[in-house]
Amino acid sequence: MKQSKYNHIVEINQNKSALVNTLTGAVDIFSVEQLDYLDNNKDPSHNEVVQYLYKRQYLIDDDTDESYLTQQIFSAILQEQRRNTPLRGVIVTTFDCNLRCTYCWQQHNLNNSHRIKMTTGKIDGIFSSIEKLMSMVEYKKDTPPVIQLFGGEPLLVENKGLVEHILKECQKRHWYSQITTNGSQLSNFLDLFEKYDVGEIQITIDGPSEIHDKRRLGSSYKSLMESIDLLLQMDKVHVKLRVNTDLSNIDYIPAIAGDIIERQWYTNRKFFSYLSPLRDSSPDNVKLLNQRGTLISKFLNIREAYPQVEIFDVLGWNGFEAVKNLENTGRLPFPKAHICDANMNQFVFTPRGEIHVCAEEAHDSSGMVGSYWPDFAVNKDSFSRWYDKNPLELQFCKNCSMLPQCCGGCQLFSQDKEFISNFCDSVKASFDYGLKNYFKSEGLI
Amino acid sequence: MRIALINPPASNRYVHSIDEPLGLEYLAAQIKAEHEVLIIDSFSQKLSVKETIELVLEFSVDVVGISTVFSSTYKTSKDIFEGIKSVNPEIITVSGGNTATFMAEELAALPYVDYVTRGEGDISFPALIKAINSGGSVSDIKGISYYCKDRVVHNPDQPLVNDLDTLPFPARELLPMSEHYPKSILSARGCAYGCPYCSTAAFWGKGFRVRSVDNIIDEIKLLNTDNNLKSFSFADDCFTLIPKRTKEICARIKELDIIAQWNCTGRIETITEDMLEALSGAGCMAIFFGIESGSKRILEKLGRRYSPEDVQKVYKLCISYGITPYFSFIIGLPSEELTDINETYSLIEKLEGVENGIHMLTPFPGTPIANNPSEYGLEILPHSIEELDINTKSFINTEQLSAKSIEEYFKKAIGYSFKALKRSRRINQITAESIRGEECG
Repeated sequence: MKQSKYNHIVEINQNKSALVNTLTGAVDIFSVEQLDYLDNNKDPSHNEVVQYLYKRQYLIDDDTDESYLTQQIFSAILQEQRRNTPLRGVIVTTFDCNLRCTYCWQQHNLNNSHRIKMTTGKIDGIFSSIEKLMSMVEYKKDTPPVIQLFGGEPLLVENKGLVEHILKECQKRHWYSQITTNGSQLSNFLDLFEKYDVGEIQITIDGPSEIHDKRRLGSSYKSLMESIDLLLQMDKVHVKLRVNTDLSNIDYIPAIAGDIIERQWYTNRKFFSYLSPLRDSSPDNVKLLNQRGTLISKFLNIREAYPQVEIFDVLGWNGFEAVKNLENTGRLPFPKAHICDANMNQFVFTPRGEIHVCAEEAHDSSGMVGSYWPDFAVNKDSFSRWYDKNPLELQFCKNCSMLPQCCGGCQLFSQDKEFISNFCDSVKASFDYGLKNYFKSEGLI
Repeated sequence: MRIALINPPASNRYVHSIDEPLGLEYLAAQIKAEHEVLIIDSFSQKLSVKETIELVLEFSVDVVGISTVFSSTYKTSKDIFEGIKSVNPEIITVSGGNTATFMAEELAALPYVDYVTRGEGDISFPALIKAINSGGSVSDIKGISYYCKDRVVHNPDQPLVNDLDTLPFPARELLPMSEHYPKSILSARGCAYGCPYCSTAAFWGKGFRVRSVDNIIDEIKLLNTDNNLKSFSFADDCFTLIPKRTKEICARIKELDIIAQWNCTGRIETITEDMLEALSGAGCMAIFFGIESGSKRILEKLGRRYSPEDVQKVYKLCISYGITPYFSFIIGLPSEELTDINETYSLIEKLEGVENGIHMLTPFPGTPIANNPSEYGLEILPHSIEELDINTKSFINTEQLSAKSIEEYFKKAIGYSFKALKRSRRINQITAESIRGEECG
């Protein structure tokens, strides 16, 4: 027998470790002596531990082609995921932004990218392109496509006409519209949201006023919260509140939770809030990734002392989200099976007339997979490089025990190896901290 | 006469649902034969005070009745009355409902409120309308308060309606867009328990008055005239209070062979397996339970005949019968200490995968704690009626806890409630066990 390559060991204390199979989802606690049987399993028939390790598929038959089987599993899951995910069109209305956030991953691209403007003619081109692109990918057929307005900042007053044009086109087709905004000029757009049945607005904060106003230069926490109050009074608009989280503001999370509770937003079924670690791809802030394990550890301590932070979900915490699933359902999630949204069923449209599949590199023409304006064209090879990229073939990932739960996390990382080790460390640290905390909180250790 | 009956907007609302203004529909049913009645549901339709006033004036009414049930609608009700009177002093204004009943002295003294009906208005309100219409005297109308000769006059209380079957069904057809409202049925009035934080017993009387099963079934049949009734709820304070009756209603609903699913309120100590079987078989999908505390000591003080363990048993039973239980808890109950609150947290954590509503003890008008705070070891802090809210601020110092600490413990309880809601482990386990049980059976 041999070990599964997806066995991941997390040391709990001197005597015990958790053994996790990130592919099958098996999780067990073993003594150090019992774990020795993973390497020393010559006599399975007479040893209960070895039999158990085999039954739980930590040990597999020597002739099992685990890579082949994993590929089969991944293909089936990915196909199912794509068939259950609506087609997403991300429209970058502009690369320009009225804020100058201290950590922004797009900031260094602003100078040149924002000069090319989106037009209503281009928007018409986007909608007709989406109809053509539908045949290229698998997606949830019985659900309307989702159009996400993105930037830069999509809700700039000077672009109100463009925004209205997009929303009108969505409404005409009964497509679902989402807007990802910094919210600073939101009050100028309120009249459009109900008129055109906007489905969801995502707004980001960085903390209470004393933190938010300093980091998101040009934005005010107070006026943002007032705008959200207004949005939640509307009948249909859902509000997703993203709270950027890092070591410098995590201590303020209970205060933000308190504010949300006092405003009674948590009672509103159209409100959803989550904590998100600052972006992975910021080239100037590699340290943010290095801090991720510490951040999780600190978050778990805060959650213990201030349970009100449970009103937040946690999204984008690669590694920890698997443990969160374990906490909530008693199981690790199914393998992720895809690297990121770029190999699901998403298209990103930029003011340059380009079609991309990754929103985070949309400012970079070298990543484009086609164009929608002035003419529609798709480069199938370029598209395939993203869409068909196989997480099991990622050079730095294919032998990693965390692969089924992480899948590389971001195609930009897998292309630009400079940050790879930071990313991998953060995933493992987040998973390990989370798992140890899980066992502790469940009284299992 | 032309009469507008208003469900006023709330100044601060934590409920974001549309609710049928059943009380107004009952009153409308009593007077619709002789008068032109318009129901304006500003609460659910999110009409502002200004919009409500404009609507009333546009309708050229003779009488305006506002149902002030919640504290959060107390100020808006007064603002609507004042706005209407300032434009047309000839319009007669009548205030009624739960909060109005307990604030009758203050309301009747206001220059823009002509009458207050106290308690259930099924007899008082039509009698008052008749007197207004005929120019007759109101001095013999029971259950009303009004200002006369420099003082507020409170006529004697109106006896409760003993036979609820004599009341006409709610005039739902007078509610604009009625077809979009979830339907509510009141199968009984009153509550036998008399909890210190609740004004139900004071408003409806401590007795529990029930409608006949035939009468309830007739109303359901009426709602299902086009075989189109998809859902409804029993709006009683405790639908399961008399198990035999509950089961009888369920059996009769089942006979109707309707597609509608419904929900109701319940008390832990009344729930048995055979009742859940009856409820589930008749289409009941959810039951709301006011648990209040996870501390055995506090539950005993509240006169509850169940333990935290019983709550868990009922939770498990409900889920195994496909009924979603909803629970609610109160933080800051009389004599509650931190150890009791920790037990509440602990219970909430165990009620995984379902909604646990968390609230703070609040001295609403008419409640025993507001009437006799010292009896419960409470100090009520200065407040206005419209400020009172179970979810934002504590207005009470108990002998054990300050208002500030109650707010902190409340926020933590909200966190535990979210934590429990996100978790589905126990529900998965219970469901799997009940499926296995069925297979074995």
